[in-house]
Amino acid sequence: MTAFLPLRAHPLGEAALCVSDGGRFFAGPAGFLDRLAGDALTGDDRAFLIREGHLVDADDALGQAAHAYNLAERLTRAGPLDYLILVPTLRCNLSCSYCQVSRASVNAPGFDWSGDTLAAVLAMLDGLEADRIKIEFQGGEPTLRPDLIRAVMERCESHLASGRLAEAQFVICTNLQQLSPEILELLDRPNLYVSTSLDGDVATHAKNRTGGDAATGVFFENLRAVIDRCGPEKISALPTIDPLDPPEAEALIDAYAGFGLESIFLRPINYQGFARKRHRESREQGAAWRAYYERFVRAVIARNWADRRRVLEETYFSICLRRIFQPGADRHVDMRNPNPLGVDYIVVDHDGRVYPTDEARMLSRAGVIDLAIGDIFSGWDTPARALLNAQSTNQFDPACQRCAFQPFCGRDLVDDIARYGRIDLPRPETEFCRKHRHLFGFIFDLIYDDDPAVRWSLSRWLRLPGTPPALGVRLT
Amino acid sequence: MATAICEAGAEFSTARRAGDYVRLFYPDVSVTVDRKAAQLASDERDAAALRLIWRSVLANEALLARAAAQRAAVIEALLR
Repeated sequence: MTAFLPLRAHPLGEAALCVSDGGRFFAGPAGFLDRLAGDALTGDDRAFLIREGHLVDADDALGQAAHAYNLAERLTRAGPLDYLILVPTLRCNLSCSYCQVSRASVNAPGFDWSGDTLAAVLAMLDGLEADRIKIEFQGGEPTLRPDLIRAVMERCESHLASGRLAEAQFVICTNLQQLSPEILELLDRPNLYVSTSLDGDVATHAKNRTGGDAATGVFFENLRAVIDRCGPEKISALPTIDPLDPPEAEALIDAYAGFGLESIFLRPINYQGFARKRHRESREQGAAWRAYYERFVRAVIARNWADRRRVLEETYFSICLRRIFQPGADRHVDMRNPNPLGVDYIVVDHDGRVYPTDEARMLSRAGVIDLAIGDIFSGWDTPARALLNAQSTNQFDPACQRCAFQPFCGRDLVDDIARYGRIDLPRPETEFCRKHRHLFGFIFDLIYDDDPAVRWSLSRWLRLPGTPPALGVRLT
Repeated sequence: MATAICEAGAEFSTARRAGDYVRLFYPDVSVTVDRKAAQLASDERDAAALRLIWRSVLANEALLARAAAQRAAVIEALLR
């Protein structure tokens, strides 16, 4: 009989992490690696591997089916179009130094949807096959055009009323510089959420985004007003961090916790838009950023342990943690394998052009490369889309095939193009790979950490009802 | 600078590929491989860590070579 071991190893402290192609894993002693390499497994090794589902025997049809099922769970299957990023205007009433979308001035003409573009977007909504839709309004500053937001929402709500849509969720990504009665009426709708930027305390936020006292004061007043009116669950906020001058982790956590915001998506400045000139160092993140990131997550863990009435998290850590234990639980479109582009998710720009991702839109606006796959009028099932999708997997990359984290990882062509102007660099030479090898390595360090505080936070981030005695299996 | 000298393993071609991937995945580690031994060095890791890196990468090369055909068959069946 022929058996095979679809395993990959990675150093884990003094032990070896072993991960199967389907994402199941265990930690073993270093000596086990020598036995693996030398094809000299002991009887106990084989019994363990069989018991844990890592050894796939050619005569075991059920085992083979289980292995294939585990593998299939890790692969993305794109459904119908059900996630839209709509950019009704590229105009903005702020001018952040790191603006990734290269916003247009608040009074600039020609950067809003035309009447024809709105009509085409509404026609697209009428033709959706999915029975659920999530729409994110981006910009610029979308609240400069509440009429366009309302038109889209009302069209979706008419489909909800008719039963053609079962669910519609909306997000407005806004700098909260203005809260007109019209905007507040939109925010009162239960299926609409707000995403905003909160870079830290007042001084940090002002330095990065709002500049003077007036605009800064308006933002914090409006943020408090929305939370008081609608509850903290209405809002998600994200900081943009300058890795060269990051805020103290505790101060950043305080800034969020003070508003009742429990999920903090730690983002370094994105190498897009204005940042490509004003923050050139953002192209790569180095050891200093990764050390800061670890300090931040450990600070969150300590906070959670000190006060277990509330669970704080670093959002992306939680997403990647769930990718390990709960494939399919989240649908973070920047982290999928394969990563279908322009299929279940598109971006419709202010001029009606369609992009596969928001970052692709940013690259076009910055004049780096035109990654539009079509437009809202004539469609986007184009050779451009097919060309991107032909490359949008990590499954056959020789480096990824040797990486223990490949089952949990993804592929982001647009990120590679943004940073390097090409998609064929050896994966470990890209920021995407370095970032995720660091992150998954850190996650597994914590999975195998015996500190009860760590286990408590990981269990909460996995949305478990309790805290198991251990989160990872060990071969002793 | 820490160094570690490890057994290269049974197949020289496998060991040589392992050396290539050590350089790719761990840019702070310098590595030379001959038919008998692999020598790793780094300013950022101790000898035990270097030995573990070598053992992991060598194991991955061996596992990949042995399982390549079956892995490809499973993936092709799924993607079909």
